Amino acid sequence: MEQQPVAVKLVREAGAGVYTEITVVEAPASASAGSLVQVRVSIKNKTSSTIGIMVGGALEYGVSPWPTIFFPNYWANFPAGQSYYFDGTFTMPAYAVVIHAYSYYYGSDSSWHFDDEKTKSVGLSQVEEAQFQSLSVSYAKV
Amino acid sequence: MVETKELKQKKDWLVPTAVVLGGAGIAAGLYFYMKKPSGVDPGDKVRARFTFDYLGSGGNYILLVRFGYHRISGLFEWFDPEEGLDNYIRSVFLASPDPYELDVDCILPDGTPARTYDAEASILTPYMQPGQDWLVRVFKDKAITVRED
Repeated sequence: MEQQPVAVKLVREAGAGVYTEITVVEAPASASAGSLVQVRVSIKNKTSSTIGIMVGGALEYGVSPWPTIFFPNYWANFPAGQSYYFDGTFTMPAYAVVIHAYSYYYGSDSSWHFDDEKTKSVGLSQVEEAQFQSLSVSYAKV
Repeated sequence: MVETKELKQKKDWLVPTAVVLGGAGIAAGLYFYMKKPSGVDPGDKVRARFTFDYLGSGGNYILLVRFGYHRISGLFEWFDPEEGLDNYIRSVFLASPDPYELDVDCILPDGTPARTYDAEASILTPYMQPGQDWLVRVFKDKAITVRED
């Protein structure tokens, strides 16, 4: 990761994924209360040049302000047309949550600008997971 | 009488020569066979055998196998699938609580890069997104080695 984000020359007000696109938000379908949940947000640079892109995330489940998702590495300079992913974590509350993932681009005014959003739901852990015990898998040529 | 002796001498050479050449051929074949590294080739079929105890009361599930790169970052395990090796799926119906042994056959596509791949095996429900959600999953590092053609 470079030290300084590369700025986008602001030609017009961006929004709804003009410069970036959140392609995938990965997270388990359910998690148990108190467990650490992994989140991966994949973002694509839709422009024809390298730009600085930042990720953000928050949890919607009935509290205010929305708790944030921790991303240890939260920005990177993306080459044109390239995708990159950011890994983050949060602690599962005792409620089902909706993950809101956000992407931002770095503007020529030296500020980060919101650009795209994608959501994903994570339910509270069901007993279904516990129905599978002692899973092991072997691999052999046939 | 002289001609017969020469013929007999020729026949005496024939058998040992054939034995030596045959042995050399077998040895050469064995050498080249042994020299080929173990592993699988593009186009080969790899069978992933799922073994587990099912405690539920019945339902439809998806078995998913992906090959790629398993890594541990911080407290977590991540899996980065290799394109083309990331969608081996089998739909199953588990009728009752029992031990199960189920196979997912994975045909490696032509052009699969030669290298060693880790594997991720997961079980999910039909409404889950393959590769993004799972009920349970296990990893096997260095599960298969794809050879050079």
